[in-house]
Amino acid sequence: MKLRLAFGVLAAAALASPVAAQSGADFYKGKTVTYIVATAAGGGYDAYGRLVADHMQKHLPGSTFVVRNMPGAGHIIGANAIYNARPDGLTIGTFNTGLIYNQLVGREGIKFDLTRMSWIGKAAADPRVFVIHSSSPIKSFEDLRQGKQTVNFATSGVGSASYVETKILADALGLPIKIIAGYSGQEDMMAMRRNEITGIIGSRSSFEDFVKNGYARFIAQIGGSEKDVPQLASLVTDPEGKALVALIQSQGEIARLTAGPPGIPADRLQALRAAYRKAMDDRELQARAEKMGRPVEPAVGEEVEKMVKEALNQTPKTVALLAAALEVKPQTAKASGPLLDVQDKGRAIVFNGPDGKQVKSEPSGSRTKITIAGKEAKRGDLKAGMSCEIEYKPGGDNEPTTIACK
Amino acid sequence: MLETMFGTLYTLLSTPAYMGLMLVAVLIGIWVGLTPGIGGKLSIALAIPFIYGWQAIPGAIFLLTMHAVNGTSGQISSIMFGVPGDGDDAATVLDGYPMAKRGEAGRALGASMTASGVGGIIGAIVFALMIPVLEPVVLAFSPAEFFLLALLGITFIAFLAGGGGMLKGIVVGLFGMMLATVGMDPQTGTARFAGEQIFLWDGISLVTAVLAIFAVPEMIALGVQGGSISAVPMQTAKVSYRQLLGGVLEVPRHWWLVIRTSVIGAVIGMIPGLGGSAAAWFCYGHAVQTSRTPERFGKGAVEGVIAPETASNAKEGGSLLPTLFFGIPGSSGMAILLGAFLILGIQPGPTLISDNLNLVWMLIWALVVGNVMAVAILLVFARWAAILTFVRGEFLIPFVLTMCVFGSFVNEAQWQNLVVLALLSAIGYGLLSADWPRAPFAIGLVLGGIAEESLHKALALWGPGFFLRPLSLVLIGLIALTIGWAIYSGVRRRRAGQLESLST
Amino acid sequence: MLVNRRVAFTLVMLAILVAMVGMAARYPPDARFMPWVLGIPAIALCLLQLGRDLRAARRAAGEAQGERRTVRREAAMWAYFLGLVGGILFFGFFLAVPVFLLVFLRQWARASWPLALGLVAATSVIYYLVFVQGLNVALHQGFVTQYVLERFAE
Repeated sequence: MKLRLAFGVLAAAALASPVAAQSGADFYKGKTVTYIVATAAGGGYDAYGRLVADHMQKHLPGSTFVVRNMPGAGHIIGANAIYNARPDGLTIGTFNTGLIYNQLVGREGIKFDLTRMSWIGKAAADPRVFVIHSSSPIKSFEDLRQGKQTVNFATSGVGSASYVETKILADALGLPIKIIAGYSGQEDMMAMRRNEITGIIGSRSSFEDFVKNGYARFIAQIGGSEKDVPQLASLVTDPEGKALVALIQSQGEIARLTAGPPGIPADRLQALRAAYRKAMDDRELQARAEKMGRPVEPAVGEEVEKMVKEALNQTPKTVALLAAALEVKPQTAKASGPLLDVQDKGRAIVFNGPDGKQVKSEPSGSRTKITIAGKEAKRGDLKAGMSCEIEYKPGGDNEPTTIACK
Repeated sequence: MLETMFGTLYTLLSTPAYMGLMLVAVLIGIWVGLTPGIGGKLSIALAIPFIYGWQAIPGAIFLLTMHAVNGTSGQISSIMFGVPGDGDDAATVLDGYPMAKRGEAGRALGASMTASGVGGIIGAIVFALMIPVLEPVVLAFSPAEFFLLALLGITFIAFLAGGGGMLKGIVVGLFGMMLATVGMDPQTGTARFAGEQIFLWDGISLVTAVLAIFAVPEMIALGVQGGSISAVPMQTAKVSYRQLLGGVLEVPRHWWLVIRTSVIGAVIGMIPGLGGSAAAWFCYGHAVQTSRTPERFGKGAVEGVIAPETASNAKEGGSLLPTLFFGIPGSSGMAILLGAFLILGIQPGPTLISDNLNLVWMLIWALVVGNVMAVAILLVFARWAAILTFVRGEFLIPFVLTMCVFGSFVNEAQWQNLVVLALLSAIGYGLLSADWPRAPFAIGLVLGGIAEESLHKALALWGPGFFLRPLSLVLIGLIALTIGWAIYSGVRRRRAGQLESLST
Repeated sequence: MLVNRRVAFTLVMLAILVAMVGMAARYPPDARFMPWVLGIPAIALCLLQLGRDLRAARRAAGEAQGERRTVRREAAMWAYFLGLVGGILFFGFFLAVPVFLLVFLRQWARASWPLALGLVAATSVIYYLVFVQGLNVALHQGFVTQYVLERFAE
């Protein structure tokens, strides 16, 4: 039933679009469209971006597409610019889908809402893979999961998409992984060859050659259509883990996207989508992409919008996991219960946190507001066994903001 | 092997199409490199759309030549106006600009260009020689060694500060390193010194910092002081091809330094992850350290021009190695080149040696020949360009200042960058007029980032015992030696009765 | 004059270092490690330097005279530079750069009208060709100019 409904909607949309697209396409005659790429010139996003811009221009007669690079802050600057541009259909662009994670936890600096952007299309699928050094005894995902020793995994800087994915997978699936963060670009491959690290969770396209040259092997994959590596989804049984894998998979499906600010007039949006579709079908584009080693796996318009909305619809537990991974502490944590231990005249205290685990916290002599039985007190007055409500900032020294004891 | 070597050279030189391409590439590269801030990376990225469909060899030659050359022309503005083209050129400014102020711009230019050319050639030679031993050498350098190398470079600050200025030099160096921590910390995801200003999350742009600390203050000082850049009038300075030639001949005179700095530069280029600007600064520091009269540096010592220029060109040849053979770019410029190579159908990887040795040698020769071409063209051009240093300052200053502003903006096209430029310029001017050394700042900024990142990684990987690795111990030894030498020669100089050093 | 130029600058450096070390105190331990390892010794050395400068200032008390004329010229140069940057920020490259060049050439360099206009025109054309057409850089339009243009566009 749903299928027929969907089909009907699609058919209606398909019928409607040529008409709408026509008036929209007329708008673009003689106009310049700015295509913003959220990275510096020369990377993958830049390559795809210029390819798409070139061919969209071809299929939107009379238009001129100009590519503008706006790198910075891990694609956030570019994404902000695209979202806040004037919604006249003359500004669109591309950025890393990984920004989904940032939005899910409400990271600072973000001035966009991915659910409201005008989605034009996506150009590729980027399945994630678990890459293991060829000299390691780990030959399959089970080996990794059951392994007794902690294994070093390399990721980009803390807060980046690669770090987030590695961390939440390691935490949720209980993998014995120690994350070494801060490897940018392809330093992680060098590190693997130097035997510093054993594994990486990254995009398959980046590691294809590396594996082909025999330096490493794939032991699991998330998404993608290749059959030579087992899907992680089939190797995971608990629902929380499965949900996370699904999130990462959906994120991987929407790679090399093109989007515009919310509120682009419907006919112009249609025209852009139509041009995008034609660009993707263009044999020349496909050939050029193949030549670059960057094949295309496109999806257009509403399909992409649906994928994005799905990806952004996550359970609170997942959001909490993500927040922990991104080390974003948007709210303070509250704990109440007895002080299990008080050390060094109150400079350190131990109590049970909200999740039941013990928390060691360092009250500040000046910043922490301490009250005992309603009266102002100093940390030296705290004693083990006192029953207190503690509000603290998780992370680092877990400094409490207030301690109110009975 | 030998016949491939010379066979390819012959093919290169005798195919007019190739030579023509290289000439065009050289000209474009020079043109792009002239203006500060406009990196060669931008030019390559823009050239990429044009090379679709070209054959592998001509395309690679074209791009590589263009890339190798735009490092060379940045010296012109560095020497003549004290305006560095990017991070490495700042090292050239330190001694090149004082030479211009003495009326010796022609000599400086002659020396620097020849040094560049020779450095590029030696870099290509090192590249060729290292092909067989590439893997073990590159793989020997881990974060532990990166950290110690950065530390070694930083101890050179002790030398550059020299004598009684050591205190100020170290403070400035530490300040430079602190500025390197501005931005998103990869270890904790904290935005340091940046907060909500997401534009600072990637740190302070090196080009902006270098323009602000070196170029702008000099221009303002020039305006205040009046006159032209060269304190010596043109007639006395005898600007001519002879002066230029004098500079050119300085390079063979210092041949041992040239060889050392080229090799060091090439090796630094070979190791991905160490960073491009490090080469020029490292070798500048090395030149100071190994000179018998280090106090000449910063005032117009020709070695101070030769060393960084050889190094920064040699590193290009070096960085080609990991790019071609590992598919791992040795520098950010190489990263773009790598993308272009893929488009051309060149598959980087160990198979390149066995399958396509022809191409590899063509590239090596292209580097050599391209460098020679660039130097020849620039030398002719330089004799006339040097005249600008005798022009009245008031006419030059506004154009140079606007060049600085453009350069900073083109590098990072956010308006906030201009605010940073203005603020840092104020500090730079303060440094200049209060007689504080500025070179340590640049070294601190360049090496500070690498030092911290590598330290954290090394600690995460091996814990505090990380420096017990053999190569690390060697580097620690070098650092101890450097510090010891600095203290020793400082004490020796003070004892020799130079009381000036005490009263800064 | 106890507080001469050198002392003033050392104080400025000290202030900056203290500010940065202070800001770093709020960061988690791993993040503030490096800034503190660098900043705290820097503050110590800076204080030492301040001591030296103060002693030197006491000795060289008579030198304040010649500085006055230089100060005025310095202020003028800085006014031009900051004017350029400010002009670009508010009015954009296209307006600020030619205006700056023209004003500077006329006022400071005392160039004649034809020479000044000629140089400015030539440079503007070159800059336009190189940056806008050649490199495709989006030159900042300036807040005020942008605002005005947008009002017109509606």
